[in-house]
Amino acid sequence: MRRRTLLQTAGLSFVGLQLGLLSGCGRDSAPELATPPSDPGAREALRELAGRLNGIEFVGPVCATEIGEAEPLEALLQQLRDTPETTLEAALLTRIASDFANGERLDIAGWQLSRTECLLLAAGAHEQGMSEPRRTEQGELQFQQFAEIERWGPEETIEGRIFNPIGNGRGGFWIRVAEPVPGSTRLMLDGVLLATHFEPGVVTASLEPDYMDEVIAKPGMYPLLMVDTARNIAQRVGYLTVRPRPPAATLADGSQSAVFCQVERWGPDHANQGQAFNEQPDGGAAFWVRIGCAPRNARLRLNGRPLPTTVSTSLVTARVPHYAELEPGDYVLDIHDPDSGETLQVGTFRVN
Amino acid sequence: MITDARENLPEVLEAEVAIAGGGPAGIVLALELAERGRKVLLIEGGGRNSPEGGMSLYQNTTSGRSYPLTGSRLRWLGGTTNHWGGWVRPFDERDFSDEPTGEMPGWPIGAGELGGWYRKAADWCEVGSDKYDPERIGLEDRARLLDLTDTGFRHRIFRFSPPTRFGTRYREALEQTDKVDCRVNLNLVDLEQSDSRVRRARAVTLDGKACTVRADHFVIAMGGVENARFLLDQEVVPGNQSDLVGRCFMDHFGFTPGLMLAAEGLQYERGQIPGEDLMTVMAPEPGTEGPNSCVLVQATAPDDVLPPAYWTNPAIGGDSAGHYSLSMINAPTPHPESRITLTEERDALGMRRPNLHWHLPSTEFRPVIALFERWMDALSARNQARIKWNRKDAPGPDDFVGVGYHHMGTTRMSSSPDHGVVNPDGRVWDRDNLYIAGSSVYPAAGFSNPTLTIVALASRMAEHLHRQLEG
Ligand SMILES: Cc1cc2nc3c(=O)[nH]c(=O)nc-3n(C[C@H](O)[C@H](O)[C@H](O)COP(=O)(O)OP(=O)(O)OC[C@H]3O[C@@H](n4cnc5c(N)ncnc54)[C@H](O)[C@@H]3O)c2cc1C
Repeated sequence: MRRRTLLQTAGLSFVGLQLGLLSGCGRDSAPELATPPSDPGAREALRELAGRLNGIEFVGPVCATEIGEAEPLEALLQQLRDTPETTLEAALLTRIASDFANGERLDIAGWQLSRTECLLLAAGAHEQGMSEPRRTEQGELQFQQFAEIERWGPEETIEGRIFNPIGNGRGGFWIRVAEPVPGSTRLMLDGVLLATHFEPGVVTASLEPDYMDEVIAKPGMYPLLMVDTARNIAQRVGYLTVRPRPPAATLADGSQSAVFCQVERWGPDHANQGQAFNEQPDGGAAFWVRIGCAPRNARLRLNGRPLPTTVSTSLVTARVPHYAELEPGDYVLDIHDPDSGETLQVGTFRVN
Repeated sequence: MITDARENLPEVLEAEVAIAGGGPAGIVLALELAERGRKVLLIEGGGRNSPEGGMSLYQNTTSGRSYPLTGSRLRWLGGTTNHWGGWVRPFDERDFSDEPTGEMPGWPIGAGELGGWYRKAADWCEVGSDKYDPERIGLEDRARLLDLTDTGFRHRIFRFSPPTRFGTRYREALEQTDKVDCRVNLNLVDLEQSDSRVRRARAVTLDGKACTVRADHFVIAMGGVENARFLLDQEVVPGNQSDLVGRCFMDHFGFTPGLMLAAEGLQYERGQIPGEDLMTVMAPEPGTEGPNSCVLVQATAPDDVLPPAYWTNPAIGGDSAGHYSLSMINAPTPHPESRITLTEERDALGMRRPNLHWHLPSTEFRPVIALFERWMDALSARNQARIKWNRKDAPGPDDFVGVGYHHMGTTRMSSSPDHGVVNPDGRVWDRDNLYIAGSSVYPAAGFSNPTLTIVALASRMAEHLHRQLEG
């Protein structure tokens, strides 16, 4: 990962922000810029401004070279005096606006700056003794809480299994946040920034297929961070655990399953006729199967009849909508994967 | 009622309206007709849930500019909405009224024609609101945005569907209504036609079962590429009086011109404005020269040449700043040479496979780049931002260009049979009872994603067919 300097420290509050359009009013203004360009003090005022310019370590020296003015401050002052404006600030704004309107731009490493602006930057470089352009230094990521995380997931997966799949070999994380986070936020898994998306109250991030393959191939714990790339600050989210794949199940024909792991436990294995076994909050019946792994599309079946099934990391559950119709007798419970065509016997369920 | 045709398929299926394709276009049309009491047959080539082996039917070849077509379309109930992103917005008024650049005309209907249907479409797509005018929702007072006064650009918004997976979301409705006979794993393959009508059609399953389909009206709703492929595969190609079936394929194409330094905490992205699920973009005002493309803004890490500190300088920004990456979604031009043709290779159903020749010449980027430059100068002149302009040149003919997977234009709508395949009702010009639903009918496309308009047009078509059936 490329780490960048913590350049901007002003905290952001998105709560109840009622800011409206950025019309320019309320911005920082420098008192010396109220000086009329024709005023004898204008030169000193401009010099003061040039001496205090921020963030010009690269563009200042490059502008100085590009403009090629021996006395950039003098040239700038002359240009500002040629405007009808009555303050240095207004004159600068007018000149910059007309530069952009007339295509008077300079290209500094891609940045499009007005010629007048560049003259000011050249004066700044001169005043601040900068001769060689210098890129802003990259700094260490700082840890600081900036988001209120309510819940997140998934916290674990099994070796070889794409977690939270979203198609095309991709999968990823979701994080519920109490307040919107800055748009410059990215999730970072084990040092790798992830493509991050925002929905109201939720941040999601996906792993490229190759990176997903790399992560799920190696059991272990992977740190997940939330990073505000604009402010170079990070907050810990938790760890993704990739558990080693449990032993493969043995199928009825004695072969090893390619998709199912061994069943650890399951239940219930019997019930009385008409009784809602493993009774659910809504009064319905359900099976549960603890299994090392099962494909996401797998379905539990009772005597071949598919049941509405939920597959999670090591648990498969299914509701039995027709439990009340089951006659006394033995029923085969199995789990079927439509994609591979494999079926794994779970056990026999008895209705008394 | 939904039936798997592999398990149960009579020799003849009959309905007032037979719709082929169970994506959003087909499902909405079927349910809207059912609501009006019409007897509908909905034929879906794929299964209820997952591809079940049918995806290979979509294999294709491409030529021209590289285009990722295979894999983008899904062949099961709900169609491609099984993996769509859910971005929605109606077309702008100017998308209907502007003449597209190039030789082909634009929409034969006005924006007003779809107004009420867009409201219905918002419900079908489960979008919380049908308001897209930033002024009507007071957006500029509620969100931290750039001031676009006098720039020639304005804010526009996208909204979001959950995204609705049409097959899952409306399965119960399809199961429950006795007006819709929905057959999955059944593919429409042939039309038997007279000079002016479709007499009947033939549908088959991948395991070799076949049936005859009889209906008063037939609607092809197979998706933006398959609609043209299906027509072209017929012995007599309906609507091809001007050789336009399959031509003028369009997609919204991307362009990433650069980076922006502007005030910190701008709220353009989705999820930034409490109480609203929307994303804000900038687009040209009517009257500003150039295509109806838009600029998207996404906060990103600081640049090391022009750091955020630069923007704090008086008379430049005078404010704390952030960096934002910029990208554009662009209005495509309908080029006749951008087209679907059929190859000699056949799929498992015996239908010829399509070739997509995507004609997106480098010249098409010129107006886009000029528009970006106009936007950049206007914002810089108003001291709203400084722009890092990374890409001043159009991508070369072999460069990969980002796409929206929005397959549009191949059975275009027109005011005369000379310029299109379907009339303003979506009826194939030279067939009295054959209709096309979906984005293949779009003659122009602005920067809006297609599905909301697909659904609005499907609702509108339901009303039209209902009235036709009333006599
Ligand atoms: C990755 C991706 C992201 C997208 N994101 C967005 C987005 O954010 N916003 C947006 O507006 N749009 C988006 N789209 C586009 C959107 O998915 C389509 O516009 C929409 O699904 C088209 O609807 P449709 O009903 O016309 O076609 P489809 O959804 O393609 O459905 C066509 C149906 O017809 C069936 N069919 C095909 N041939 C036959 C046949 N011979 N017989 C019977 N049935 C047949 C297919 O199985 C399919 O179910 C996206 C697309 C992709 C690929």
